[in-house]
Amino acid sequence: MFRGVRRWLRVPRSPEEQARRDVDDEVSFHLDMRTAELIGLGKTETEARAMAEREFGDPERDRERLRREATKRERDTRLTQYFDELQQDLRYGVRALRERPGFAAVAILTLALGVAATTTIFSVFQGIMLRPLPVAEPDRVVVPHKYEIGNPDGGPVSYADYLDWQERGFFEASAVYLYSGADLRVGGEPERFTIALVTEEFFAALGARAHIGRTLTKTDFDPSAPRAMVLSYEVWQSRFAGDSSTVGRTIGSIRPATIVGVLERGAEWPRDVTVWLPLTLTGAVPADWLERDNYQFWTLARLKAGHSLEQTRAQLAAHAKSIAQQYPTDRANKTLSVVTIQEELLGAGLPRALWILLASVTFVLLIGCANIANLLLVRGAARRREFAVRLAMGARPGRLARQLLTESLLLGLIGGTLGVVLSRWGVDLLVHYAPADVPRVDEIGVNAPVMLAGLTASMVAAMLFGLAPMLQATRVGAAETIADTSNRSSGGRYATRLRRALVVSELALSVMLLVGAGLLLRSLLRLQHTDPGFRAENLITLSLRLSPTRYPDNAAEAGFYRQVVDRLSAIPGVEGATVSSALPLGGGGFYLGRVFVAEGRPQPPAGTDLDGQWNVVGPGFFATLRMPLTRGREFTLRDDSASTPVMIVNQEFAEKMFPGENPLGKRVRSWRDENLLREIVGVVPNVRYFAAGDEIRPLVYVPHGQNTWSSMSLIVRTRSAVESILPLVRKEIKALDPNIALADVTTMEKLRDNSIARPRFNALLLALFAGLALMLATFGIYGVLSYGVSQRTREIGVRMALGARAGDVTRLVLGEALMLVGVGVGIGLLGAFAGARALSTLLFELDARDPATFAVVAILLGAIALAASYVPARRATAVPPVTAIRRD
Amino acid sequence: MAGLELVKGTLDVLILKTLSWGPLHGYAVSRWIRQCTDGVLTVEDAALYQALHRLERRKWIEAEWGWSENNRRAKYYQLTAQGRKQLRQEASTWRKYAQAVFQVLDAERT
Repeated sequence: MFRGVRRWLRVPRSPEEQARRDVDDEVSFHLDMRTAELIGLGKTETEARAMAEREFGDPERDRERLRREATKRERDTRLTQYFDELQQDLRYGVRALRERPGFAAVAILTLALGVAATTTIFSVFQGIMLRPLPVAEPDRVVVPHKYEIGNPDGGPVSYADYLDWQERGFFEASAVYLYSGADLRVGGEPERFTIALVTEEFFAALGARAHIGRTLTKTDFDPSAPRAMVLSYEVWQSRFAGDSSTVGRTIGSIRPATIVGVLERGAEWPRDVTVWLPLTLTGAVPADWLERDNYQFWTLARLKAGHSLEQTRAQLAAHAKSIAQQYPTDRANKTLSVVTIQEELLGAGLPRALWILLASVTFVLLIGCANIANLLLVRGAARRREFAVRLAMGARPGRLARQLLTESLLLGLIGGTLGVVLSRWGVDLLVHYAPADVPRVDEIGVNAPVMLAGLTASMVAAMLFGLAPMLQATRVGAAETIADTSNRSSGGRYATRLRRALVVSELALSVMLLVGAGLLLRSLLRLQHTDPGFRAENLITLSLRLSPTRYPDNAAEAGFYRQVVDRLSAIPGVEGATVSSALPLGGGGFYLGRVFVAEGRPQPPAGTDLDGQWNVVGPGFFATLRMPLTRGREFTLRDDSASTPVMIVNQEFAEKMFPGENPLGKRVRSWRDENLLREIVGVVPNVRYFAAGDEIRPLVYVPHGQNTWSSMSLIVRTRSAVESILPLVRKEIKALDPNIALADVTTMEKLRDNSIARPRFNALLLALFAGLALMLATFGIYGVLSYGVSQRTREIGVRMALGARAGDVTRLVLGEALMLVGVGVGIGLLGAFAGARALSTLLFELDARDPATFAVVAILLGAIALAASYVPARRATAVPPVTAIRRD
Repeated sequence: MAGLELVKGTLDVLILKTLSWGPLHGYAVSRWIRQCTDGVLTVEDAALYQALHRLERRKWIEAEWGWSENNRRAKYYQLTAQGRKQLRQEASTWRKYAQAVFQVLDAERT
């Protein structure tokens, strides 16, 4: 094999070398001939040679000139020859494809599908993972985080820490931002705007420019300056019709602000914010801001020029250590670090999912390649004699190889172009069905780099599947093949082995994909059937925010929400209504984590606290959600600021805080925050809090009457269809206060759906790819076996003539199939076993080595592959013995 | 060898003519021209080869490597169709030219 390879890969002489050789040969031939002639005329050899050289001219100078010209000529000739041959190859290739339209169609379609799928996923991958944010030097923008040592999940930091690194100049710029919101009336109805209150260096740290107008400048942060605001591009387009006179407009009635600019599109940070306002402090920094354990401050920073991420991380870690020594109660076991803005944007799950999808779709493309390679091998076997004859007639092996390669590349080009074109629809489809919370998904498109990548993938694929027939065609000795006039030979043992190897790889890759898809689907099924802990049907949810100016105190706020709940409950068709600070199933609101200690117990050392979510709810919350209390009672209107502080805890909290005891009547305080002893009056089942697939978390519920918040989510249980009740809900709230916006109006079922949108999307895509793989692999094994049978017609005929029965022949073919399937599935299962770990974080309550999934995949694939083998096996038994032998 | 210098542009047509009887290698072309003119015209061999290569580039002649009568690798030249046409044209130009020159030289005053 290596001799063959070397022969057709032989590097030709350089044009210079070739020209020198030719000229030297020609000149010395001339001189030798002339010398001989002169000797014949009676001269001595020396005289003769001297004379010949004199007649020639100045041999050295002239030779050099001749060589130069010859080099030029050689180059021209080669170029012309190259293009001539290329043209020939192309013509030949097109003809070869047109002669077998069936083969061409199958190959092109297979490749086009593979390339389309790959390009589609790669566009998404590129658009989300690779495309930098449109800010200055995005690599330098980082988000500082506070970490519990040993826990990879970071969170916001303390204001005091921010002041420290400002003072010490850890960053080129750094800023704090706080989330806020406001109901503003731009057109007719009031609308909720998500606001970021930012400190002075925010836009410098982000490196974002204004699309029109300007971002915030130093003077805007003067407490006496007029309030300035920056709009997001999206809001400018949707609410201000992209009108450039928007800059300069003043909006808001209570605390009006002037729009000074629109931020560049795509540069929004945080992503969901639509308005940026300066965070100005009148007077001193509030004392609680400076507490070292008050981690409610989101920050953004820009690395110093020339500072690496690692350097900065080391600096922050060292700083965190010294703070921990200074404030051991608050800060033991805590550290600080930064992640890049890109990592912060994507989170942990998304890149993993995208890598897995990209790998899967590449598998599909590879399986497609293996199929085409198989088709080409079969065809190559049929063309073996043609090649052998051409070799014998003096065709260079390299030339043959090139022609085969041209054919493959032609396939690659056609299939690839088709695939890239198809991928445009693929991307549209994918973006349309993509989960809404995937960042920047709306900006994804098929762009030049993606198209280039798609075409490259296609060409590489073409080279891969073109390689096999090339090796096969050019490695055979010419004489051997011509002598082998029997065209029923199976194309050589080498080709047979290659075809089998290809099918085995297809099966193995398919098994891996099927296992991945199977795991994700099983996990999805579990997710969909998870009990959220309450009845999620027929619940309307929305969020309300009360302006501190018009609702100045807790009494006013509590009064408003009481009225809303009363009015809504009175709507016919409404079963009940209540409020909550946050919605379960990841529905949004204010998620607040606190640490708790029971009455009479010592404050636990840092790191051993019992964490729990703090959820403020109105009376009737548990009745409305249909969450039956396991013990105790529900909150009522009488649980107000004048009565005993109370709380209701979930099962998980009760078990963690009071294992084996009755928690009712016990008192607990959130010792780092509210620090008020609350009596447990009820215990409720666990709910899935941050998503349908969330782990079970300790959770406490506190009555709104005793911990009155201004922003609350409203939950309305309807008896009839949600759609008919919603307008009535709007009407009632508007009647109460026309200036309040109804934000995030949706249903609990939609929230549950959204919270599993990503796993569902991943599972369905992977299932699609696995299905494609299975289909291709089935074709693959069918093709190889039926080709094998057709090549062995004679052998089978002889066997049958010698008394073999149909069953024996079937067994012969099925035996080969069984061997192929066994090896392929075996390798695939091993690969899947090794690779499934990558999926484990994407699985919900399912082991990545789930034996049931593995078994089902093995049986399914085995059965389908054997079914595909049965057809050629049956056909083999139909061979009439006599004809088979006569067919010589 | 005190021959006459070749008039510029003559060599090409001589080569084309020489090759019009069949393929020859460079040495044979050189020998033929020398013999034909009885050594009157001196052609430096280097110039001859340059002319051969030039004609090859213009596609008036084409070359192929073959084996000489004494079994050595030699480059054989032969006329192309284009070269044949060129030869006809140039030969006729030369004849007219020479005739005109002779007419002047041989003219007698009347």
